[in-house]
Amino acid sequence: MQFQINSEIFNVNISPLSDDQFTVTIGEQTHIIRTESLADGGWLLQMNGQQIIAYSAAQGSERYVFVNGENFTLTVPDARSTRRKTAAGAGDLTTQMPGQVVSVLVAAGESVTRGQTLVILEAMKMEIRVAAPSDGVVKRLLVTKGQVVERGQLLLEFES
Amino acid sequence: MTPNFTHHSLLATHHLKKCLIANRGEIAVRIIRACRELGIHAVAVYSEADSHAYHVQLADEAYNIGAASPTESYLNITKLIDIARKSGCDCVHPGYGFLSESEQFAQAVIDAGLTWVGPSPDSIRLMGVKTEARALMQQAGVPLVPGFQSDYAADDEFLVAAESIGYPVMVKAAGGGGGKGIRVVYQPDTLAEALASARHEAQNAFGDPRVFLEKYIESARHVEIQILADSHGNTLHLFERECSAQRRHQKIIEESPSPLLTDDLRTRMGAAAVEAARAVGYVNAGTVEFLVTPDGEFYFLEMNTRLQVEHPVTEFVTGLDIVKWQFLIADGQPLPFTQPEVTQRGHAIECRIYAEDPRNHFLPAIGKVLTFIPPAGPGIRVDSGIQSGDAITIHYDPMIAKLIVYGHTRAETINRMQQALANTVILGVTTNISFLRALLANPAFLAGEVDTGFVDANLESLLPAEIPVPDIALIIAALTDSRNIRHDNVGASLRPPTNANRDSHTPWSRADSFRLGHKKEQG
Repeated sequence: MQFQINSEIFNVNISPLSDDQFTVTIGEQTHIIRTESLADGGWLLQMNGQQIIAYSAAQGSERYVFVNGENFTLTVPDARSTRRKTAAGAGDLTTQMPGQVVSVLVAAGESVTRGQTLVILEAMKMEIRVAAPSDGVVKRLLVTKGQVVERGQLLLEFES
Repeated sequence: MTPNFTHHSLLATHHLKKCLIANRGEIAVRIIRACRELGIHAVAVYSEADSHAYHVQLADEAYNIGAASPTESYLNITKLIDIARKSGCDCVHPGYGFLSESEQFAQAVIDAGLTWVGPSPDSIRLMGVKTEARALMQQAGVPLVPGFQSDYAADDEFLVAAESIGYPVMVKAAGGGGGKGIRVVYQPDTLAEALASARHEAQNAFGDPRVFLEKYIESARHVEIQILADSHGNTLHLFERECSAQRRHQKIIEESPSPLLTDDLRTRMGAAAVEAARAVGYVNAGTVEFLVTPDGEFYFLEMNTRLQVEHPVTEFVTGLDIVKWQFLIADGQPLPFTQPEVTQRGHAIECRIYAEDPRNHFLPAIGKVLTFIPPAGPGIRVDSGIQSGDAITIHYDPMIAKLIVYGHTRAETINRMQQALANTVILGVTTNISFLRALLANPAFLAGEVDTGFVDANLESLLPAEIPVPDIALIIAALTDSRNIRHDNVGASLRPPTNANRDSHTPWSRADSFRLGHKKEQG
C-alpha cells in the first residue's frame, strides 16, 4: 500500500498474522501490532507494549488519521503515478512530472535518513520535495540546480 | 458559594409553553436544552442546507424556512413570525447573530402578541447606534474612551478633533459593530482617506455612513461584564469574561475570571456595567464590553443586547444557567437572588473550534466532518451543533464546537483544556485545534498577559510546526484500507444495503444515511 503526504510517498506493507494481529513494514521498520476496531472508526492498538486509541476515516483518496492528539491527512496516490513509481528502478529516484531542479540538498556519498528531503523540484508552479524512501546513502547525483528534467528522469542513485 | 435556589418554586411556575428558536447550530441546540429543562416545547426552523442538522433533530417540531442563504431563511422576519404563529408558539428566542440584535424583529415578535426572549426594541436601538450609546453612557457616568462624535461633521472638524484626542485614533461606524467600518489612523495625513473608506464600508454594511472617532488604545485588554436584569428593577452583574485573545477582532479564547482584574477593579467595572444597563432600561441578559488599559483604567466599548457566544464561561463560574434565566425574565419573573449572592468560583475557559486552516490564512475549511467525537471528563462541556457526517458549508459560520472547561485554578483549567483539545477527534476538515493549543501553551497566555493585539502580532510563532508523519499514522491508514478490502470481500448480503458508504470504514455510521436526500452529496 502507498500513502502520500506532502509529496512524500510511503510504502506500507501489511499482512495479517491472526484475526487481530498484523505485521506492518514501513521502509526498513517492521512492527507487530495487535488491534481491535472500535465504534466510530476507532482503533485500539497494542504495539511495543504500549496501548493507543486512534481514529481514522476515508473519503475519496484521502485518509484521515487522528492519533496522540494530532491529525494527519494521507493521500492514496492514483494508479498512474503509482505505476510510474513502481516502474522506476528499485532504490533510484525519478521525477514524476517535468520540471526544474530548485535545489539539491545532499552530496554524493552522503548518508541520509528516511523522509529526508534530497532534491526540490518545481513543476506546474508547485514545489515538489523528493525524499529518501528509507535510511541509506546517496551513491551518485545525476542532476544539478537549475537543470530542467523530464518526467521519469533519474535524479540520483540511492542505496538503502 | 453558589446561591441556593431550592426554596424558590419559580422554575415550575412560569407561563411559557412553546418557543420558536430563530437560529441554527450550537446556539439553537443550547436553547433547546434550556427549553427541555423548563418544560417549554422547542420549535426549530431550518434552511434547505440544514434539513438534517442536529438542532432540527433535537427540537419537538421543525419547519423549513427557505433557501440556504441567510436572507432567504434565518434573516426572514416575515417567515419566522408566520411559523411562530402557525405552530402556536408563545415566545421567540433569537440566539446570537442573525436577528438577535434586530429592533425590527423584536418589535415584530411583540406586535404578533408573542413574548420576545431578549431586551426591549428600545434598548436594542439605543445600544445599537454606537454614537447614541456613547452619549447615554456619558450621561450615566460610565467611563468612555476619549472620542469625538458629530453627525455629518466635515473632515476638517474630525482632523481638529483627532489632534486633541491624540494619535493613534480609531474611525468607527456609528451604525454597527463586528469589526466593520473600523480604521486605525496613526498620522493626520491618512485621516481623510480612512474616513472616506470607513464611511463607504459602513454604508454597505449597516446602511448608515456615519462614523465617529475614538482614541486607539494600544495593548488594551477586552474585558466584558455579563448582566442579568429583570422587569422588576433588579439589575445584577455576573462578573467578567476576559476576551483579549482575538484574531482580527474575532474572539478565540475567553475566560473567567480575568487574570488582569483586581478585586477592586472587578467591583468598579461590575458597578459601571450595571449603570450602563440601567441607563437604557435594560431587561434580560446582556453584556457590557470594556477596554482595560495596562494602567488599570477601563472604558465602555459597547453593549451587546443579546446572549453571547461565550456565555458558558460565566455559567461555569457562577453556577447560573443564563439561557434559563432569559426565559424566566421574559416571563416576568423577578430574580430571586441579590448581587452578594452571585459568586464567582473556580476558573473557566472557552475555546472556539473552527473548521479553518491556520496554515492557509485561516480560510474556512469547507467540507464534510466525517467523524466528530467530543472530549469528556470532569469539568468539560461541549456546545456543538455538528454531528459526524455534517457538512461545513460556505453559508454559515464555520464553528464546529465550543469547548468549555472548568477547574479549581487557572493553571488546572489550562491543563485540562489542553487535554480536552488533544482528545477532540475531528476527521475530514482542517481545524484550528493545534493553533488553540499553541496559544494556550504560549508563555504570554500562561502569564495572563495576552492583549487584543497579541495574536495578530505573533501569528507566525503561534502557527504550530508541521509534524512529520509518524509510523503509527501510516499503520492506521493501512489498517483502514485493509479493512475496507476485507469488507469488500464479504458477501453482498452481509453488507449494509447501500453502497453510498463504500469509502467509509464505518458502514454502520449514520453519517451517510443522512445524506440520502442531499442532492450534491448523492452524486
